[in-house]
Amino acid sequence: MTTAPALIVGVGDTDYPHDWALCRQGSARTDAYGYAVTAFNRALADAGLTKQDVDGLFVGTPLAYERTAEVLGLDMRWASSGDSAQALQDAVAAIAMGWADCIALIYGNDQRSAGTTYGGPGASYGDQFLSYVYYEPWGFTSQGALYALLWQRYKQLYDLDDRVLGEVAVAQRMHARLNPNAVMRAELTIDEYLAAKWIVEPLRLFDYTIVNDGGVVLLVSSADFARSKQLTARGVQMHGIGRYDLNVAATSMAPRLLDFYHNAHRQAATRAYDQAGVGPLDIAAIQIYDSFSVHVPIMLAGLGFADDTDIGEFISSGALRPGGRLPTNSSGGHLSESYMQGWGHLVECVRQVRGEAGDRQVNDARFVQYASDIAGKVFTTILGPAKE
Amino acid sequence: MTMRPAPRRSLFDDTFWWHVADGQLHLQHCSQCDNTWYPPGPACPQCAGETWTWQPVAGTGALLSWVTFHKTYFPTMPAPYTVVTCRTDEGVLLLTDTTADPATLHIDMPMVLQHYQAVDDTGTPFTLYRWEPADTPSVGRAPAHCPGTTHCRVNPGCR
Repeated sequence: MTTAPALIVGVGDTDYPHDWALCRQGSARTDAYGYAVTAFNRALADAGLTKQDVDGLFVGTPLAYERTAEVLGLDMRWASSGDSAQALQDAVAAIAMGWADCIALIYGNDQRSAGTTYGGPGASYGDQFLSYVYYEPWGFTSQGALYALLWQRYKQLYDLDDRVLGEVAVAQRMHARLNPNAVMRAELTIDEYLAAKWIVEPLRLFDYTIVNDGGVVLLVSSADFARSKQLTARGVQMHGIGRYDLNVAATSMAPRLLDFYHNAHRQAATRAYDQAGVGPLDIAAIQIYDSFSVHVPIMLAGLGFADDTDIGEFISSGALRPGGRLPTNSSGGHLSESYMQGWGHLVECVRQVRGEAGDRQVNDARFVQYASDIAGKVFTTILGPAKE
Repeated sequence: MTMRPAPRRSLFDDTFWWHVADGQLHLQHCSQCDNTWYPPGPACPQCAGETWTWQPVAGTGALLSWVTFHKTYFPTMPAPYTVVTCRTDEGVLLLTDTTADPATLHIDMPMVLQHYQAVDDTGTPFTLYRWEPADTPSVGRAPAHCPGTTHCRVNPGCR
């Protein structure tokens, strides 16, 4: 398969700990669109581009497309919208078709200051995922509960200790301690993890993400555009992309509980690895969409880094930690950096490939993988330096 | 009285809950390919067939997983409480709460469906159902709210 390559030529994000502190004081500095503007300006500065260079726009939920473009003053010749998994797919396709030369992928969220709820009456995204709201008469609500239900069955079938999930939280906190832009930077021990309160058992407090305000922008351009602006050397290419969605019996949670979404993991991984010409052993670091710690072992097993029967041992060996066999969520991820719904993970991939990740830089980060699994909709991509 | 959030209802959920209120549990069954599915909807997810009938389920199944809520999400439903998912003998996954002690639960244990009464946030009474371990003593006895229908398939033999 040959396609005209698209490159990520600029990234921008916001000051997560600073905005976290302001939100906690009840004095958020801006709204969802304002965070997006900050990230947009930083991404342009990162690439050395101006607003006039942008001719395509992808707007990430929960932002509204028209208002985002209005706030940024962008009349576009190509546009789309959706979640962080859809963003790169659409941008790569649009670049390949010649519909745009430089696309801004824009995300902003004021979920903390706006009091977005992910459980109980009025739970978010219930209009898109029926399982988020359908079982309210029995008190079953919150995306955390859906993953707790998955984990209970998985841990029983494979006889896993609670310390396996604890190690995910602990390892990601170790990464976060090396990231000045992570919200949670205090040391976390396994004993503190185990002593924390249950939320929905078998998940505890530190298995959950940090709901926070913020914005993220990625600039994706054609190879020709990047070359014309001398951006190829810092450009990051998506060498392989895979996607597979499980929808059959989704509300009754059959693919979640009977398959752990592994069929989608395998299908998406096979496409991405084949296209990139690499395999799990070539991956220097991985960023996994982690609304909950549970995502990490399930995804790693599904992608082929370990089997279900030995994923507990793989994680318990310290593989996910800084300096480990497979540094995982090297920014701290959703659990310790900030819940930017996958967008922050993509920025971290770019910084690792560029070698600009500071104290948390992974050695020889030639190929860094991103993988997300949002209710069985699986997306993964292998990022690496641009081919000249 | 047990307070619970009212069910979300599509057009097809109405018939489902009408059967529940009658002490039964019916699911849609495809007239073309014999598939049974949940939740209710306009067509068979297996063959996209638009011809189906409501068929009673046996009311028995096996435990797949469970969780215990320690955080209260609904003001009218204080934690802790336990929720289970079971696979019915017809092969469909159904999620409900349970009164069973979570420490006694294990994968594949046999479970049965029982009906019970609740009121929603507006004070309107409605009937719910839930999974209980098959050896629960109340199984086989008529619940106080039992409508006494002669064709009840949920608590067979209770009358």
